[in-house]
Amino acid sequence: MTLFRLAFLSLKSRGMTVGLTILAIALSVVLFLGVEKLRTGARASFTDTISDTDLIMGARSGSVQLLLYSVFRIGNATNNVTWESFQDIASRPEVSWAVPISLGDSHRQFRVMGTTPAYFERYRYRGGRPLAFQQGRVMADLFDAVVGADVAEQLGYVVEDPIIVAHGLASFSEHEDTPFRISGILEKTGTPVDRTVIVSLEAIEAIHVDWQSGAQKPGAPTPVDRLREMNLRPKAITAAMLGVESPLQIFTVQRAINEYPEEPLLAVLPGVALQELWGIVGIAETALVGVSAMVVVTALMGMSAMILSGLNARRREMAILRAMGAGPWAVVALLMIEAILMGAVGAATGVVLLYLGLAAIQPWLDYTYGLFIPITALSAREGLLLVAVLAASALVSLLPAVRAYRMSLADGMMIKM
Amino acid sequence: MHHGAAPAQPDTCAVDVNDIRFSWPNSAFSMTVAEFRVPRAERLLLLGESGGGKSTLLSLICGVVAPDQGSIRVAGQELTQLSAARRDRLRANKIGVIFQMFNLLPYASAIENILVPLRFSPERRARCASPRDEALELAAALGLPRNLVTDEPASNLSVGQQQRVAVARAMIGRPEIIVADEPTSALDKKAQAEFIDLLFDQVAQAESTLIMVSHDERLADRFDRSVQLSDLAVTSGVAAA
Repeated sequence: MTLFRLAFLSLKSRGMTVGLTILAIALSVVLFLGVEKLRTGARASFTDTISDTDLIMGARSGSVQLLLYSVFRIGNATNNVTWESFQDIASRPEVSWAVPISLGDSHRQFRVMGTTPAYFERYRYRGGRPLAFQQGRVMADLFDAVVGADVAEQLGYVVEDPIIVAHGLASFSEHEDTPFRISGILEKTGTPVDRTVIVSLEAIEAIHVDWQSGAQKPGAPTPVDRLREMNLRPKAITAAMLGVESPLQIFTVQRAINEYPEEPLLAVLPGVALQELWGIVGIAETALVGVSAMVVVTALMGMSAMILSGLNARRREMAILRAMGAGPWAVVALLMIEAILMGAVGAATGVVLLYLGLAAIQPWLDYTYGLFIPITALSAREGLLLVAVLAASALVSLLPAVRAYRMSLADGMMIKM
Repeated sequence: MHHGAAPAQPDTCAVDVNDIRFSWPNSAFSMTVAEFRVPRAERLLLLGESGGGKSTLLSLICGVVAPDQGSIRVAGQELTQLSAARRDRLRANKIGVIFQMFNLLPYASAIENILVPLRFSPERRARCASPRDEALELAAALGLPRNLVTDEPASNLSVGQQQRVAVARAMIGRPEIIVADEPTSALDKKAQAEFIDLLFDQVAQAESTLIMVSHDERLADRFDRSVQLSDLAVTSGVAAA
């Protein structure tokens, strides 16, 4: 009969109270780890969105803003980059490749992005993975469009379906006269690409031929055949992804762009801009972690109060143990073991609930927020958090344990009830 | 430790109290005992009403508290020279305790209750080749049905059964001294006689010393000797228990 077994049996005999206490701990652990999983998941999801791109270039604004609109399609560009400036930068000897992107149009709730076919070679995500097609291929015709996996899934598109691109975001005025055809559907990536309609830069120009300042020019629209014959060289782009010959030259190119005399431009390293973003989001994250940690502490205080309130009723139990030769320290150990057991069962239950919950809400999070939380084993940090919960259980049990120590010294083996 | 420092009397006395004085902290109650000897293997009845200091005397003998002055030798060991932790260890090794009632941990089965002292006493554990078998044997000798001993939580047992489990627990590992505090007061007359028979059988088999406290003088003729607590101890104030 070990102390451990004694503690276990004693807890079992108080099933209801102990069960509720454990549930409170479990739920607090779910919240704590859940916040942690969401936080790291969101970070990983952001970080995984772009890789192998050395610099992102756009009109001068904030580096976080540039990163957000160019890569994550969050917010809008304040200004465009002229085609000449882009050509200038792209032709620099240090620049090994440059992919322009043009944003601003939408298809249903999805953004439309104009780019060059090089985008499909150069855009990499999740540590260097290239885009892949589940159906069809890169656009070949002026009015071809490639759609991301979510676009295809949510709108039920297959290759060869016609689609209509609207000017501006959430716009009522649709470019009805220039219908596009889907040439390819991309595999799911877990990045904003899934929610993007990709067309050529020329196509973006073509649909704006009859438009000026966001309104259609009066008169008959230009026929499609005429459009095909027009010079559709873009006048401006929204941003560009750049690759540099050698990592050593990244800063040279960045400086050249930032000091570009013809036009105010900005170049950012995606990783650095992300760090800056985390710096901003970090405060909210810290608050969230802090609040969920407080919930764990509250649950553990509840456990301490529960043990404390049960002490008087257990004086006889302690006196019996003392008579059997247990020292007061054995009583202390017994109470601490009980607390740690409850903490451990609570933490384990919490982990199980966490994974059940993650499995349940994962598709919804992905669908609704484009946030993919991978179901992975607990990280070292999360494991450490669980150990901290156990340590805190032991710590909060000190209060009732010390009280029990005093009681059992005063009572000895005589039961005063 | 000073094992050889004072001439030990391991073969004559199980308990040897000399000139002790004790008062509970934060209490007006104090007690002095000039001399109290219990020879080895004696069955002694200590007669006294509650409030006469018997709980205090038992606490002193069991080493839960230490006297302010004087000497207490238990199983040849001078308690006043031992730390509280070593007194706890001595109690675990040498003394089996039976209370008046509610002796058992209610959530554990009888057999688990019987095995608890072995957790705290390496000496008694060493005497049990197979603790579980010995516990079952003891329970059987005390007339407890086996399924009741192994399958039911102790709280499901009758008071008489619980008292017998308490005897088994006190006897496991054959400690030198059994201290029983009013163990029969919760039993009816027939059960009392049976209980005493069973207790004496076990004590005789283990050659243990028995110190039993009771207020019932009719039990006296069954014991080797009976002592009035009031002849033994001088108390003042009101006992805490």
